[in-house]
Amino acid sequence: MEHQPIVVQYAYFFLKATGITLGLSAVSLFTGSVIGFLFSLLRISNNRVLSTLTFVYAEVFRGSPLLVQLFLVYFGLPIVFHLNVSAFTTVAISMILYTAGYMTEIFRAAIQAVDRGQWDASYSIGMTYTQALFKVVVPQAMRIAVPPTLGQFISILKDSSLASIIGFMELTKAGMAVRAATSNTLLAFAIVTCLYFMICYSLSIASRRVELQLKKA
Amino acid sequence: MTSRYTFDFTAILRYWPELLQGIWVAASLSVLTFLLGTILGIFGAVGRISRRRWLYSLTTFYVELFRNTPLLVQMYIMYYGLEAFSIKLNAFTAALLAMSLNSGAYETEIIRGGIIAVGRGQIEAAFSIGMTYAQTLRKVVIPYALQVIFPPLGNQFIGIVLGSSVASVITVPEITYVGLNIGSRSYRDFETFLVIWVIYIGLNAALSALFKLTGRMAFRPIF
Amino acid sequence: MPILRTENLNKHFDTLHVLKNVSFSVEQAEPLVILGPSGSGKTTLLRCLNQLERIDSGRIYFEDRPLSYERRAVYRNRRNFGMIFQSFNLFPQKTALENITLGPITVAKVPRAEAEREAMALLEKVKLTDKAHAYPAKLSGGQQQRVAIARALAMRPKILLFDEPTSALDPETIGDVLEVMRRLAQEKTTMIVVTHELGFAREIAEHIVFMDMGEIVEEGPSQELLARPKSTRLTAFLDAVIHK
Repeated sequence: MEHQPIVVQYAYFFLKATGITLGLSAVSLFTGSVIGFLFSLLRISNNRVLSTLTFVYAEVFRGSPLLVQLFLVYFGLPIVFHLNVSAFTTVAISMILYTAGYMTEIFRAAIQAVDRGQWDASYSIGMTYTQALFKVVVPQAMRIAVPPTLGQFISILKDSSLASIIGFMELTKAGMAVRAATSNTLLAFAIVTCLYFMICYSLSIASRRVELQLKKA
Repeated sequence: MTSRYTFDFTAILRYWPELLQGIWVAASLSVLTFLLGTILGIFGAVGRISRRRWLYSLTTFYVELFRNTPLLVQMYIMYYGLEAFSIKLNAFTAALLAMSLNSGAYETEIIRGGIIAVGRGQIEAAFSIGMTYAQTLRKVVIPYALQVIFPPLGNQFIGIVLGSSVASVITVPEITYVGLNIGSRSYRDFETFLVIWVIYIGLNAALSALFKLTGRMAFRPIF
Repeated sequence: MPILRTENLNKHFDTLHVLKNVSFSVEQAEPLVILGPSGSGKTTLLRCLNQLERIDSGRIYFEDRPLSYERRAVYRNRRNFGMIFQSFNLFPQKTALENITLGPITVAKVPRAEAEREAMALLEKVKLTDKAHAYPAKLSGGQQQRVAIARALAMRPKILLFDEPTSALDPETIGDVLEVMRRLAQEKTTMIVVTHELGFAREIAEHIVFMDMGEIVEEGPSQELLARPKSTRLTAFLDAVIHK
């Protein structure tokens, strides 16, 4: 069948693109989580200014399309900051800022979901706010945060497809490129769809399993 | 690092008619998507709780397929992919089709969640005071389910509005597309997108507030 | 000199006046029981003592010195009290031993080895040495509560505060916890216990305070109070509890 050679030929190409998608998503999740965690601590603090600022940050970056944020960074960096960076950097910065907004909310909710009694018990043995937060509450919050974080990772994987629009070579762009090269639209899209589906669906099943495990313990 | 860059917003604000047009297109696309998506969602939810194997499998496949692949890819398929079957849809229709199928998958799970949330207890209580299946459905299940699904459906609608920006890629003249257009004509892409960004943030804030208010009024009757 | 004294404590939750001019005192080594129906404010009173809640007006005197509400002073003051909660509040991801040593290690900066030695001694005291490495999820309610008592004792508090310690327990396990509390009373520990358990009140308390609707209605030596209640409210309460 004439389809076979295409698949085999471009297999390496698609695999590489998939790896890039995964890598970009992982970087975004990791960095976004670090920022998000820090912001969540500020968000729950008594400092009105910091609390409001981080609230606004989360609302703004979750309440606007990633595509628009992407264009802002894409157009803004060279024009306003006179920085000429690679497509990867542009996309990464944009996705990190976007993810940080979501992770702020996820960590905030997780910390507040920890039973009040844990704070009471920590204070009763003389702990300070900081000690109670980091030694007792945050460890428990981390467990609560796992399922939504996994969900966010799956979201990021799908959102990374937008990077193709500014020419970054990830999985979707790879599909478009192969489509152009082979004029076989159907196959190209089928492969891209399958790859996204396999990765996201497996992660989604894994996430459900993890959630059940966490509920048990 | 920052610069002699002089911001000039007036250059783009004169394009306000186009921006308004873009908002209109985005709004119609979103509302239609939501309506179609809700219809799909109702059928989907019924299928997802059905005991008939074929119906359950079909709807589960639909939901998992559209939730585990990017919207952008789904749009490309509707716009470019259907050519293989000699179907060429116009941009708006292709976007509507893709977004409706996508939203339908999410709404299926939301509505299903609402049905499940009612829980056996309330239904058994209704039966034990002599209500029929239809009465129980009408007086007990639906009111409670509506209350449960209202907030997530509100969020879903907002998600649709924000997601409509992706339609710009297949040339639907909604807000982002207008932005790209204005940006290139005025050579002020950055300012343009700042304005576009603010428009979306404003829409998000307004819709959120609207849904919160409506929810409070509709579901918490007179004290 | 009473070890703890309160003067005209008032507290509101929004418009609800939860504590109304509450004044009482506790002597050292005296087990005091606070009785009262739910909503009487007894738990709130207890939580005000170790400053988990702020009072609106009035003063609390510990060893004749008024309690300061400055943040660092509050952290220090709390170490004079140990609190045992109705819902135990053990740290779920730490073993029984770790629950007990966390305070000494983190707050009192006691070296780990020493903290663990003392923790084991406390576990011995509450008869749970074999559960030292068990997680709270694997312990029964009564066992969890006993670990909670050990955890409070680890900080060497001067007063132990018990907030309905047996209300969330199965009848079978209540006995074990009461046994520990009995022994603490015998060892002359200063205790303030909010409880429904009249039997415990009768047996252990030297002094009883009866609260209703935010006020102290009656107080006095326990034998007196329970045998010859003076107020109608206390009489009604005792009737209701005895006939449950």
